[in-house]
This record gives sequence, C-alpha cells and structure tokens, in this order.
Amino acid sequence: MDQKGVGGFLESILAVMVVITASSVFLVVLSVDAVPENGGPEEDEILAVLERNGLFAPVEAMELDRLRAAYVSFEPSETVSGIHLVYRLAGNQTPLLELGGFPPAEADVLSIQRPFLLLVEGRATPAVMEVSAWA
Amino acid sequence: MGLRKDRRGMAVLLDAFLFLLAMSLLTVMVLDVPTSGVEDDRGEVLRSYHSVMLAGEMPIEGGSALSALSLAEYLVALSMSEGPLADGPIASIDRAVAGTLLELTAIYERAWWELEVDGRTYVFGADVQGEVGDVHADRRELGDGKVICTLLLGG
Repeated sequence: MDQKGVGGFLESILAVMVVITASSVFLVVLSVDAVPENGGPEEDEILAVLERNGLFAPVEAMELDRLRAAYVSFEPSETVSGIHLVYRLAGNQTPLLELGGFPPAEADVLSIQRPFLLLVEGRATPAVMEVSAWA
Repeated sequence: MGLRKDRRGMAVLLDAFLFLLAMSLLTVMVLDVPTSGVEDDRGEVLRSYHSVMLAGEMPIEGGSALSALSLAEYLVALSMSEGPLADGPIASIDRAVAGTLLELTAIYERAWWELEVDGRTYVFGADVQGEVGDVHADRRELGDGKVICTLLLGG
C-alpha cells in the first residue's frame, strides 16, 4: 500500500465521520419541536388549580356570581401564577364573564377550553370555559 | 493500488450518504404521522361535551315540570310513550343540543348527534350528506338501552 492509497482511505473514513455527525445534528434539530416545553404549566395542573379555587367544575352547575367571587380569592400555585378566564354559552362567542389579567410578554402560556354547566336564569345550560394560564 | 483504495473510500462515502438519506426519509415519515395523543384528545373532547350536553336542563318555556329535567332524563321520559316523537319534543331537543353542536362545528369540521328511540333514528346538527372523512363517536345508552344517543365528529 502506497502513501496515496492510505491517505485516500483515511480521508474517506473522515468523510464518513463528518456525515454521521451531520446526520446526528440534523436529527436533533428535527426533534427539538417534538419535545414538550417545560416552562409552562400542564393542562391537568391548570384544571386542578381552577377546581380547587372554585372556578371550574366538570359536573356541578356554576353561577356567574359564584365564579366572580371565587376569582377574588384565587390563590396562584407554584406552576400557575396567572390566569385569564372567559366564560360563555356553548355555540355563542360572546363572553358572559371575563376574569383575570394578561400574561407577561415572555411567559409560556397554555390555552385550553372545557365544557361545563352554567346556571342561566336558574337553568343548567351547556357552556364553555376558555382559560389561558402561565407560570 | 492508491486508485483502488480511493475507489473503496468513495464507495464507503456513497454508503454513508445513502444511510443519511434513508434516515432523513424515516425521520420525516415518523414526524409526519399523527400521534395517538391527538386521537385520544378528540375522544376526550367528545366525551366531555356529550356529558355536559346530556346533563343540561331542557329549554322548555312556561315553567313546565319538564324544564327541570336534564336532556338525558327528558329522553328517557319520552321513550316511555309509544310511537314516533312529536314535533314539539323534537324542537325542544333541537334547542337543547344546538349550542353544543355549533361549538363543536366551530372547532372541528362537522358535528352531529344521532338519537335512537324505539327503533327510530333522529339526526340533529350539520348536514351529513357527502364525504365526511374520519368519524369519531361517543355513544351512550340511557334508560336500560331504550334510548341510544351518539355524538359524532367528522372531517
């Protein structure tokens, strides 16, 4: 084996290593979007905080006055420091009640909506709660 | 000799590029396939909206005793009488389910509700003629199976 042959063979091995490194970087870049972010609160945590504070109940019918009063005594948690809530009837985009502030610009915000029963003129009516929460 | 080694090196390099190409295609395919989480989420959405809709009280005016019944209780009460449903109860049921169906239609492409009472089927909500695509359903049996109601999402 002459010098030129050995050099060519080593160059090809080097090229293979470069290609493998590049493919690894490529895969990492692709998978970054698939990894959930850790900064913001999780859906279950938000619902638990709202239920604990009397701002949401999946089964029991809620009253607007009770929701308003519950927000006054809202206690943030470690994972949910702020919320913005919109309560409206199902199929109607006009809010019946809007509570809470707006998130800071740099906050990780998770927005979800859940159906619930709202007492309107004494009748339990299907309604929707929209919540945005941030840590 | 040197030329032969260079050719072998090029062959390995070509193999590496083919490997990279195959991995890229595989990755794109894996990332492109919808995850089961989305399907589970749609099922959960259906269940929660259906539960709330059935628990909602009937929009019947005039302080009738029926207005205190939930939609599920009203349907079971209706199933006690023989024959097809009259126009009045159908209109009341339509008002009771309209909001939920409108809400789901705004989120998904199509939403409708099928009610089966005494072997007769009544459909409420969007026109379900034509191509619907994938359909997700939540089916409930009420009153010992006398009433079967199914909330469906399509598109």
